[in-house]
Amino acid sequence: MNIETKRLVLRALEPEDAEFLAGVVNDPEVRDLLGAYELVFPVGPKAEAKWIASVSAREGEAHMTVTLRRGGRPIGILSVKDMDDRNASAHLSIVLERPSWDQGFGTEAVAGVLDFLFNRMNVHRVWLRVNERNVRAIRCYEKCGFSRDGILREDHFERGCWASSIIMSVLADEFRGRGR
Amino acid sequence: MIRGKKVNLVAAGPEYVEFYKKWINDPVVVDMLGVRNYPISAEREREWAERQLEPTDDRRQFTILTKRGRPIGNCGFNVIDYQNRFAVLGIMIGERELWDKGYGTDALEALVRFGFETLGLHKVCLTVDSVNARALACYKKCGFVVEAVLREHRFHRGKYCDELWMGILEDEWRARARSAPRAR
Repeated sequence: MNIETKRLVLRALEPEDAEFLAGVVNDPEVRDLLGAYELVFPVGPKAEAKWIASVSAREGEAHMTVTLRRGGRPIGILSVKDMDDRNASAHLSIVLERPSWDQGFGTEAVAGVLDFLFNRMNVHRVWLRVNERNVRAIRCYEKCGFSRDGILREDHFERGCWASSIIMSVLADEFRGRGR
Repeated sequence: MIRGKKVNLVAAGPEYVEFYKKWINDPVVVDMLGVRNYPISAEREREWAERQLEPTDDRRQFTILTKRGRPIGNCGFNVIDYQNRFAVLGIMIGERELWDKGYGTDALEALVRFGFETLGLHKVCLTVDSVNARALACYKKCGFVVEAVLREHRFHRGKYCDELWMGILEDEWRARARSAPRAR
């Protein structure tokens, strides 16, 4: 099922999103804050289409396109990975195109997906890794109920030096408690 | 084709894949269905639809069409056990604006009749989440009775709810069918 919030619909990632996705992850300012280990070189739309086809076929992962409810235009990608059924734990990641930053879309998408994971999929814990320089993202996650678990010290190389990531998580009870 | 009064049941298949994708991704439709799925892509849904072209003897899916040929939902037998002569059915009306208009009830009656008259079943049963009042009312109207309550068996909107097993026996159905007019 699609995940619907006030202004957004999260639908399945489709091959036709390749062009959009390439545009987003090739944006230097997006890339700078992304902290994705595997994204190093520029990526073309064909390569993105291949990536979409391969991740869509994987079990235990869900890749979604964040679209505007009005008009359906894509503004970002949200993925749930490393789903561990017995431990009821899942990993979350999200990237939004730059023009859609600072309008509450990230918070809305993450909150919508947390509601889905906790209240429908019966997940116990959602966690993520974020570049420690990505203040905007960290604030968004904190608004959604995430707190800091710890630091992965100098886990990646960027801007000519070693940089660190922060691990954050939110538990089902914490998320439900927020709404009260 | 299985004929009802307001709907016909036809073989499920790839020609309806756009509709299947829409229904299975509609949060309001899925909310009551008891399936919990992430957004489903066109490719994944196509695979499911293609698989319906090679049905097995022990399960069969149908697409519900209005008499004008508009696809509005799916139904079918998820289990057919010929040794014990029972089947477990499932049904959904995916077009929400057509809820509460009797299409589900009519499709269900057609499916149940097919189960007893054509498959020669002794019993038809189903499971339903206790929170699904609309479905529950429909099943009761069609003569199904609650046989078992599985306590806090299903996770629904952040809480556990009961799952009900319902069934109708051959004799019960025949007694009902005798007093109701048949579809042509």
